[in-house]
Amino acid sequence: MKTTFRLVRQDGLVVDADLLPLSSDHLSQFERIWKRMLQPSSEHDSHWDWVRKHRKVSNLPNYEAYALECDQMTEGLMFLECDFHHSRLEPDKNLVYVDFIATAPWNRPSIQAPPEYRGVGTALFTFAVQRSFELEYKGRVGLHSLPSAEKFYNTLKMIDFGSDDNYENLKYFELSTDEAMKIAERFG
Amino acid sequence: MNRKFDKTWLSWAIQIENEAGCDISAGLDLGQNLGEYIANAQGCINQENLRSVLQEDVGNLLSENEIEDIVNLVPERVRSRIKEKLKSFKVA
Repeated sequence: MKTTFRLVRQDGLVVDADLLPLSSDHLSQFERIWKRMLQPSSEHDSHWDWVRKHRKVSNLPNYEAYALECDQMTEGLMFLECDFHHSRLEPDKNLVYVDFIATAPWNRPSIQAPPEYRGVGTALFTFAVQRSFELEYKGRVGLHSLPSAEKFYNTLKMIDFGSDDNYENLKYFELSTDEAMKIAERFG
Repeated sequence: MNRKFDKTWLSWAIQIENEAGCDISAGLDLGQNLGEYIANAQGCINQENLRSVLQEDVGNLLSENEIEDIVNLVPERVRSRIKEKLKSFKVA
């Protein structure tokens, strides 16, 4: 399976990027390139180890791991949990839970302005919405936002459930079916 | 399957990202940053409540200036303590 998105490069050029199942090459690039830039930073995910995280979930059938790749470089990473999480808006219904999502350091306004590519995080999130429709969850998506990203989920008009005591006080956001439908109109 | 997200999607994506103007990330793993986040969380330490408690319980022993000093000092000490306690956590 391959899904192609378009991104805007720093010089304004529109380029293609492929959303692919996570591979050892993606993890290797994280180890060699992302980590070196993130570890000395003050980013909230500066300590994340995607290799270890992947090892923990790679054999679990309810987890899916993806990378957004552009010009043979890993531009974003995402893990989805697709079976056990339930909606808070519609408590008896399933949703796609974004377990982890992050863009490459050079695509973050907090590290590089302007970012190398724009559209990376939105591409990953859009794919989570697409998966939700494919799984017949009607576009419902939930996640716990890192503090520095809350404004993005507000802009997407996700419902803000506030700080979650059970999840390190991170804010829980959920995309309703109505808002998911509006996003879906943009990818037909 | 190869679905291509075209320029309509891209225009929307850029508009959303420009409007938000922030990083895009999520996941339960603040690790060593948890202490700092909790310590800086709005409402973590309610200075008004602390002032009321001090005035009620030891107001006859301390002056208003002494109570004010404590109220200003305690949140900083608590923040430092939380950060110190949690910074050693290493999570995958």
